[in-house]
Amino acid sequence: MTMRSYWGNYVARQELGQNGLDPLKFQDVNQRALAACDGIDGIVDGMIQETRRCHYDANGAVCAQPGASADPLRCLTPAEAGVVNKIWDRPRNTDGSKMWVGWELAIDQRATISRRATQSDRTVLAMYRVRFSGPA
Amino acid sequence: MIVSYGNLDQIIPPNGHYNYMQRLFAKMGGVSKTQDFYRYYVFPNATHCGGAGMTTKVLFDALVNWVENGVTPDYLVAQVNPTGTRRVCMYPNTVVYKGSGSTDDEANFYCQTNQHDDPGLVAPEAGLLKGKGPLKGNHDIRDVSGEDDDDAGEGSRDDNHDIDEGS
Repeated sequence: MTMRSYWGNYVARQELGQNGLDPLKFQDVNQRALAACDGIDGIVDGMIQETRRCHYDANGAVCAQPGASADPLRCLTPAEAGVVNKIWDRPRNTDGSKMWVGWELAIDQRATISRRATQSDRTVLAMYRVRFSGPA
Repeated sequence: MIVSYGNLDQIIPPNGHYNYMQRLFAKMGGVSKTQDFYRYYVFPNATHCGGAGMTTKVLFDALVNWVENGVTPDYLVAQVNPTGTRRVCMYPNTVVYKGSGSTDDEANFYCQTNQHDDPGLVAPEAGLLKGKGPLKGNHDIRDVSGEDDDDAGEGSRDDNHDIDEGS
């Protein structure tokens, strides 16, 4: 839990020289991951039955890619896509070995693409703002 | 014991608990022997401690019914929205659509009995927790979390003993 909380900021600092990833961009790429993986279980219902089968590549959300957002505030730079993929992958040591389990892909889409903004969604979104944009 | 996770748990990675389940099955003599006393359910779209119909009522009712009335909870029913229900099968069984009827009605699904989880899904997390128990021997995790704590300048290594607990 602790590791997962800091991994995103660590990667962003390493790769982008900043403390986090813009919440709008993270929201966008999670939305695309959900859309890409929704049908894997055979039913398109906004739910992923088995998140471990979802393997969306964040490079699909890079600006000017077919299917990516046309909004420059939402689409990713290639470097940002690399950060998202590393966050989704798992915390790793510098030699590439695994530190800990992966962050199931699309896992935070409820926080970011909720069709109705519940209190819990707002709380979770606030957490992500802290996690990805706040002081490390 | 009844344990549940939301597969979108944003606090504790469900992957850690899949890993734990493999070790539990191995320790307790297999899947069905484990299910005699420990049943694990993964609710799609639920987050940490709730959402998408993963409620304490659903879980506790099932536990009471199991212990007091002998009704073994092979699956739970999640009210995912006012008009939709989902069948949530006991791990590692998987839910399958019967092929007709509304997909918003859990009655149109059944639980496929599995002797084990899909090896392809389990393999990426294998070997990450080599310890003998939650409070000792998980050196690989503790060392790493120690680095995290140093980085943050606060916290204690013991904090991560709760990594593997249910949501």
